[in-house]
Amino acid sequence: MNKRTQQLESEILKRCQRGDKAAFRWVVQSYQRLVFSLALKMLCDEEESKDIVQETFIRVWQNLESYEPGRPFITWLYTIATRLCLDRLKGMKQLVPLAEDESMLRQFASSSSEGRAIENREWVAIVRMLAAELSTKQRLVFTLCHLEELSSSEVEQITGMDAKQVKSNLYVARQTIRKRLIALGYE
Amino acid sequence: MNKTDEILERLKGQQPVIDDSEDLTERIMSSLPDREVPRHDRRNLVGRTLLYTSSIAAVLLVGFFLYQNRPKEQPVVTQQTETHETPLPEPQNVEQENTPQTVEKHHVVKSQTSNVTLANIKRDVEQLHVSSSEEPLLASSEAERDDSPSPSERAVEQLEEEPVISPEKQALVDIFLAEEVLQVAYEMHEQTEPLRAYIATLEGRELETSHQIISF
Repeated sequence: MNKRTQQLESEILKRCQRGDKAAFRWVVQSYQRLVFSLALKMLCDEEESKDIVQETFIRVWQNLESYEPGRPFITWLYTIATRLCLDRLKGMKQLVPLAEDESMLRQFASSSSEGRAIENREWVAIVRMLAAELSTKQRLVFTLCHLEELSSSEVEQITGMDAKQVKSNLYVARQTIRKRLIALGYE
Repeated sequence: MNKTDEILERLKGQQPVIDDSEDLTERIMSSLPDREVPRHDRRNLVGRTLLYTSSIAAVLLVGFFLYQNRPKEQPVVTQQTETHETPLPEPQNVEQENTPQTVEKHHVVKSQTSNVTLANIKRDVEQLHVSSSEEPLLASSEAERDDSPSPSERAVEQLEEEPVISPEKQALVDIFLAEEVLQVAYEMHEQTEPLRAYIATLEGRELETSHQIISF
């Protein structure tokens, strides 16, 4: 994000803090996909993910006055969304891969890697297949660090973990997924 | 790169697509609760209110403190002077009613009913004594002056012990007394004029002009 975009975003967020709903609509349109991405990869459910998106932005709207302008908005947004996802996961059953998930993963793995967008149902299947054996923390760190490509410091801020915890959880998650893929026949 | 790493790399940075993003946006916007004044604004409002209130209270307190500790206005001299034990000398004749002693008595009596200060009485008496020393006919006999303080002096001494009145009232009193003294002097001059003329005739000299007498 360049400086001009940052200034624009900062100005829009100030307007949101003053209660400008039109400005907040811009925020929703700009960031709802990001929140949906995190929620879908964490919950593996489209409707639940949309609920999380809606709830996240309601929380953002209600707590905009506590947002510190100096702090990156995305990090703050991820923090709210992450907490909601973790709360939702507590009430959900453990992820269990379905029969069609494996075929979906094979289809993805065999397709050409360049320029292919992954559909939502593919995401759900792939994550269910890969993250089934991960703990909630490992899954969260793997999602944020690997799938969302956030920096280690950002993940620390979002999750509240220190660098060592993030690093160890990410390492364990990658190793677990590799073993899982190897077990599925991918070398 | 092996297959596992390739799969993991292909998953990096890809975001799912919201199929009905506009609907989701509308859903979010319609579910937003109405926000009142932001909390920090409320805090500011409360803070400003407290600031203004405390400022006003401080000003009132300072004003009250100053009012309580203001310099006390000098009480007006209203105390009755004590009754003269020594009677004033009896007038020798009609003209002697306007002698300095009579004028002193007049002022002392006046001081019992009006706001008279030490300085005024003292000044008036001194002026009258000065004028009486210049005017033999108006002067009282030297025998009447002894070492004991006169009633007016005692009244003056008593008034010395009393606090003076405020400067504003003092000025008004001064003006009033000055007029009174002038009036008394004028009346005294008019009453003694025939006697002065008679004495001048007996002594074979000319009578002084009136403006020479009323020189104070």
